[in-house]
Amino acid sequence: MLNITNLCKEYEGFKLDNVSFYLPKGYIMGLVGKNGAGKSTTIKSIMNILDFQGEIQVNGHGNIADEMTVKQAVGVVVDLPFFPITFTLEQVGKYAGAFYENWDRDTYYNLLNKFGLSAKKKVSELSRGMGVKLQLAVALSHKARLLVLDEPTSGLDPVARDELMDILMEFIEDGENSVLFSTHISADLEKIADYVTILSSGKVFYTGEKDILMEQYDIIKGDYSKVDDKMKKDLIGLRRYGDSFEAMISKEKYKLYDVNSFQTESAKIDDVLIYAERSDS
Amino acid sequence: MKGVANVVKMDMAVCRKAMTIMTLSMLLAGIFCLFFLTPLLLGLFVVGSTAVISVIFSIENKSNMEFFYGCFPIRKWEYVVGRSITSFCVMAIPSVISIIFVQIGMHFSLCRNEDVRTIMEMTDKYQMVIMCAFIMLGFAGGANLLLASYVGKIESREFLEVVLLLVEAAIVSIIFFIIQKTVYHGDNQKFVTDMTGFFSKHEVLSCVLLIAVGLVFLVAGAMISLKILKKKRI
Repeated sequence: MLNITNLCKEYEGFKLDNVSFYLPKGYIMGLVGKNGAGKSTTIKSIMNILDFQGEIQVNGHGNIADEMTVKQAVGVVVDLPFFPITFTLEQVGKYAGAFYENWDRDTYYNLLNKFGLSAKKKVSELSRGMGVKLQLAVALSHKARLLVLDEPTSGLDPVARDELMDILMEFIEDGENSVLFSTHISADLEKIADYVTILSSGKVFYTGEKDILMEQYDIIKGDYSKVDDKMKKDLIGLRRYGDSFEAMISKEKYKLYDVNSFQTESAKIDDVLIYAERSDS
Repeated sequence: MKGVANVVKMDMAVCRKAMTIMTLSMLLAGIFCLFFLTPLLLGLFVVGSTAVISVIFSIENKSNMEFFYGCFPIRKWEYVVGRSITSFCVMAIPSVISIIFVQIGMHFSLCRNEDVRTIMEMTDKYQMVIMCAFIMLGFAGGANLLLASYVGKIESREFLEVVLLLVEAAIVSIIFFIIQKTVYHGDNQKFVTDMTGFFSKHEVLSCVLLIAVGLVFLVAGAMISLKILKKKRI
């Protein structure tokens, strides 16, 4: 569904460096990284909102060569709704819907009802969660195949977050649609993501299935004097605290060392993100 | 072309309230200007239209709409052309309505041409400049009512904008006054008088020239805008 190959984008002080990942149909991918890791830049590149190097394909269509085809198939949700603040939701449906070939007015009003949004309400009167729901209603009403969400749960209460996660799960049920959402809330990933791509300082630290990621790394702690130079190369995000240390290591590499010398525990997504960032700094 | 039409429809929907207020203001201005200077109408169109255009851009800027035009299936040239057409309509629609109203007013003897000439002869140029300043200040104030209406209430920032716009209008009026006191003296006066006399006698040509210049600015602005959008991105 979404294929990104060698995506590069450079700003002053930041570089998105050869980012590549693949999201198949019928799955949800979480795009994770700390603030400034390049998540929003990746999303803007998918929508061809900014110049970039590399190749991005959505459903086999290049996002530059077939820009209109791609944009017809992609629905975007960002932190604030991007409709005129003076519009009512009815006007949003009327004027924004006109841009889409597959716009379904009935679906739009049904979704507004389902989300508890009044068509007479103005965009400026919407809360944060309502704004996200409005954008979802628009995206789902034009039969988007790929939903791209930029930190949709940021600032939402747990109930709203849970509702949003349910909507996304429902969206991929038919196996033809996919979701890419950027977040730094690991609980969301653990709940619904099938795939995870971790960005760290503009580079891909990991991309692949979430379950494999959860089984791939351990947090290792112990006596620093027992860490030799060879082991140091395999440790990720090594931090020394007096005589002790902590770091992350892949389970495969850890087997090469004396497992009784150290304490380990399985790394969660948050841990992977933290230690990946430490290794870059 | 469907994309262009959609952009125009949406922009016009954004500024509908402001357009209604401005059109009504233009009608009142048209009637008012019957008793003073009919060519001043064109200046008022610029003031009012600029206010409405700024309302559209302000609302869209506040609404995060660069994402809208980036994410929605609309080509950059469609966006630029649509915005240009909207800008033209914003000026053209109330202008045409006001001109029609002025013609109706003149037909029903609210102000005949000879009355205007008589008033012009009787009124000192200094007084006319003051009247121009009054009209411009009044419409600057009206334009800022538009700002206040979409903001909802007048806060200190918007109040400052009201003051700034009034100051701008006052500066323009002062410039008119200075020009009248300097350009209209000595040898310059004959040249200026000849020029103004020519345009006064050929009002249709004056309007056509102004519209042509406006169209040139509109097209140039659209082309520059498209170039910037293509090059810079968000």
